[in-house]
Amino acid sequence: MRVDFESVSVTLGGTPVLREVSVAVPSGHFVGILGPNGSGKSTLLRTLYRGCRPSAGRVTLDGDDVLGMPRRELARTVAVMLQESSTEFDLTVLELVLLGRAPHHGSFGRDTADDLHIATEALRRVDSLELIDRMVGELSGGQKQRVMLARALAQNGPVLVLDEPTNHLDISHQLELMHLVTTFGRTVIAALHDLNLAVTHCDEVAVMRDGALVAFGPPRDILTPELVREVFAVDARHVLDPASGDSVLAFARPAPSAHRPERTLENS
Amino acid sequence: MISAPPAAPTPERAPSTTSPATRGRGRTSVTALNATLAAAIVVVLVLSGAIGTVEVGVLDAARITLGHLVPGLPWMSDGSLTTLQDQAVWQFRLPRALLAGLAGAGLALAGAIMQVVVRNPLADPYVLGVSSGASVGAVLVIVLGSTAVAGLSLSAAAFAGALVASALVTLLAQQGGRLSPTRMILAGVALGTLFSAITSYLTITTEAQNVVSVLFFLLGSVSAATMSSLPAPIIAVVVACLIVATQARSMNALLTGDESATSLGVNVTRLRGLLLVVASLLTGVIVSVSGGIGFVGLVIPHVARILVGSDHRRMLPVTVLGGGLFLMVADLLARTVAAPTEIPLGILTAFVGAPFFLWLMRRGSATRAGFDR
Repeated sequence: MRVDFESVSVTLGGTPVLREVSVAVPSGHFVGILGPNGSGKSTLLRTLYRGCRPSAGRVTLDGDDVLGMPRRELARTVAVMLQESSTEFDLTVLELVLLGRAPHHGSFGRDTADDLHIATEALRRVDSLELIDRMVGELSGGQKQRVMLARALAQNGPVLVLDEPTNHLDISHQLELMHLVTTFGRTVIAALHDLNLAVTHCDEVAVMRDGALVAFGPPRDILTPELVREVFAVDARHVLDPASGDSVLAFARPAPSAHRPERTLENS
Repeated sequence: MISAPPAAPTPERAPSTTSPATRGRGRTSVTALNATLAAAIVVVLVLSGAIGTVEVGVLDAARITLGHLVPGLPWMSDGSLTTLQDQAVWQFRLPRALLAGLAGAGLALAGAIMQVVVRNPLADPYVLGVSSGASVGAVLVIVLGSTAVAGLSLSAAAFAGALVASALVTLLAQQGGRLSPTRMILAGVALGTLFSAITSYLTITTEAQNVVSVLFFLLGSVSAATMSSLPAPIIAVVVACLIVATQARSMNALLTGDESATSLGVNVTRLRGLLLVVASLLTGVIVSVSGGIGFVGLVIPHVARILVGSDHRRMLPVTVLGGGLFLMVADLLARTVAAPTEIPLGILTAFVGAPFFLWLMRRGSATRAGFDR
């Protein structure tokens, strides 16, 4: 299913957060949304699952405006992996993953054997089946993130939205997650911070700054050291990985700050 | 992330090799728990009919109850039961036991709803100032007399006060059509304090004989219950249960956050508004007939979560039955432990409930309700 953001603008509390962003995501493609903190990545994703309403422009799924779709139907189409789940009242991992089945049912009724099967299968795919009976609040950041992905998988829509899916994961699980989402044949849109992960896994990347789209296209064409320098305000250069023959990006603080500690690109 | 080799992605619905042997756990025990609670309610109801100054045996209490429900039973007219016994059971003891049960069920349900609406474990049915609003209405009637309050009865004035309070809080808390949980709690606390100040002022400046009536209302009591006080709370509790039952899964989604619920297809603004109206009306109806009974609405939902987890499809029935049973027991104690003096229900609920809850909270199973974070 293709996803089109058409000149989407969002204003929150009088402040423009997105300015006329247009991104066309072809069916089955994996598109990474990149940009510094506060550049509008999450907000762009939110307009897709109706987390917020565009003040201008529209978001369409195969041409249908998401605002015109019934909410439940939209949730069956667009599965979302959020960063966090609120745990004031804690659920078990299984209960949380089963919530992914909610859009497929009415608001009351038992979970079917089918739901249960889908939920356990989703947990197995994210390598977290052993967590099934744990309380979500007890999990580590990375475990939680894998469970949140399982919930999105159980939601089982043709479009998968990931908001910074790897920020708590160890390197092995980062690579596995990025690989996993590319094996579904679903349309995937992910806000990412790791530029090298984006280069190796995304079909296209959209680079944002201050709520506006700066560049869109295949990652190797887009993520040049010049662009990275301009958008992220760091020095960047390509270095060659002798094993794969691919170039990877290496970063450094911009010139006159050699004595200060490294600032990381990781999420704030 | 995947256990299958990367080159061979698992088909979407491959048969699961590991079956969750754990899932059945909740189901049967919840059914058994609900059945036990329901049976206990019947037992306490009959006991309530039998216990009191006028001597009535347990069997006779059951026969009187049955005799009023089923027409033409022989023992009602063969002279084996005195009019006094019949009156004691049917006019006094049963109505108040039933009202206590309804109040407990309703307050526990309203508490569970409010805790989800504001997503805060400390919320209770009174978090939006419902009880302090009702108190102002009731105390106005007690202190100034019914004619001074447009001829409203104490119950009607209390109900009006409850509605005014929750409407005010909701209006003050909303911004741009959105209800923020934090703002709701803060507005409720602020307005509640204001209303309590009015109640305190009225109480302290009135004649001494009114003060006991005021205290009984503030602490809650079902001692004035008659059969005619039952229909309103019955309707309120039944309607609230039916509405909430249709929203249980969406309420589960709301537990995980507004954004998360939205992504699962829940219209969060509408759900929160609906739940808010249901909880406010339910609480208003109950407070207007039984005063501001505390503790039950805060703690029973937590007890239910500790026992069966946070899934509303499991915890709501336990909450409703448990709340009803708890308050019926509390009321039975309220009118017997210090007989002939009557203890306000609010004091009893705290005395019985607080130690029980603390014991439950310290047990390992409290982990299941997320108490260990």
